[in-house]
Amino acid sequence: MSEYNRKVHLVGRISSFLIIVALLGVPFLTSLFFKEEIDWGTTFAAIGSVLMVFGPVAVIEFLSYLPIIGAGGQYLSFVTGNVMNMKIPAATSGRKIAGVETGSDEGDAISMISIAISSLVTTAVLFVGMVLAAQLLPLLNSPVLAPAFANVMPAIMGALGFPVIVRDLRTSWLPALISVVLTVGLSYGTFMSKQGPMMILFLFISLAWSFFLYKRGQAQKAGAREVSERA
Amino acid sequence: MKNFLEIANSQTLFILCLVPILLVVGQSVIFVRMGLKRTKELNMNQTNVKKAMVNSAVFSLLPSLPIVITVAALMPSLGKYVPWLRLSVIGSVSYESAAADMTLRMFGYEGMGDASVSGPAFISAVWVMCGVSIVWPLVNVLLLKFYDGRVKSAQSSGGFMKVAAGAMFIGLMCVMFVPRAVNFQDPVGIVVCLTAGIAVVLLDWISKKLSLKWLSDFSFPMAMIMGMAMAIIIS
Repeated sequence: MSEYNRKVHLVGRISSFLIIVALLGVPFLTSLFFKEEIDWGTTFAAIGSVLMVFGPVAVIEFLSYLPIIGAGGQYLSFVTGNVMNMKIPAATSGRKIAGVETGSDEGDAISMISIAISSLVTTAVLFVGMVLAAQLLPLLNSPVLAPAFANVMPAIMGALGFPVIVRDLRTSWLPALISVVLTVGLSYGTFMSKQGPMMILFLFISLAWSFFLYKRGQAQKAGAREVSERA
Repeated sequence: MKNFLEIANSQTLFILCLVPILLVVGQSVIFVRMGLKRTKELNMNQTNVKKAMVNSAVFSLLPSLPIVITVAALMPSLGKYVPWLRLSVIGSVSYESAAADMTLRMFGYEGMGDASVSGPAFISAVWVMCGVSIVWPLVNVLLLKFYDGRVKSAQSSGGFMKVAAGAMFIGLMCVMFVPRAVNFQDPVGIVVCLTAGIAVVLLDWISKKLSLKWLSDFSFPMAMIMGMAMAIIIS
């Protein structure tokens, strides 16, 4: 691991740890300041119930995103959230502008910068939104704009996913076809309610299919070389 | 026993919520500086790096607005500052609502929106929201360095690992994009999804044909806005 990567991990780990402590400090110090007794039994039972739902999602996301956004991008994304709808699109768009590959040193650096900028913008917008909520809400919820905000996710995912699928049809057609069959067969709601397991399934399918194509490509190259040597 | 709103809208809670948010801002600023230094070490074109930064800022504005709506929607149930904290730090709409609602129901309330929630039950809901959300950064603190080392060494060995990241991204899009494009229960969503997708490809094609690099640089946020505008037109 390079000196730079070691530094990214050092800063990422220390800052994430501080944020964890500060986050847990909010309920802890609130109960101290307001002298309220907490029912720990029920609280821990609730933590356990919620953890059972969201814990596996965290582990799946941990394994899935790193090769795409790099370590710095992952430290940042996992403390600000909104990974799929903001951080990954910001990183992908940044890499495209800089003309760098996913997973390369250059790609990781640009992903990290793009995600950090995205986090800063969201934090600033949320602060303004919190202060001016009463004034902004009628505008944001107006009947004219409401359909646009209700469709932010389809717009982001369309802009992000469509080019990825059509530009590499050789690799994408099979996983995309299986996704269509499962969505239509199970219904969209059922498919999305199982997003965690679906993510594992499709990462596996895509990797396996891509590996098959890679091996076949290598075999064909070797075959062509043999033929040209004989000739 | 206090009503939860006395705690939830207090200045004390504002200051407590401000601390993690400032740390997140600090972390982002440090990573931007480290990233910029790194791009110089790698001899990357600094004009393109700046363009990527502007693009990220412009793109992030619009998707942040629905999050503001969620903060505002959660305010009657959780007060002013907790929704602000939770959606600024590791937040997501589905997670926050589910965690708070589940906790309040376990305390015998009717869930979020119950006006009679007590102070301790509210603090417990905050414990649950914050306590579970730390799993994400905690996994990073404990395992990311190890996992990154493995991924990096696999990538440096070349071969298939060079193309694996692209394949993983396709897999991700088969979960996040493809189902939305064939969700026949939501025809507006399908039109929005395809409008934005086709717009990116078209804008990139036009930019190549007419040598308009700036058009390609901003094709993503422009396509997103086109998709959202289409939702207004057809709704």
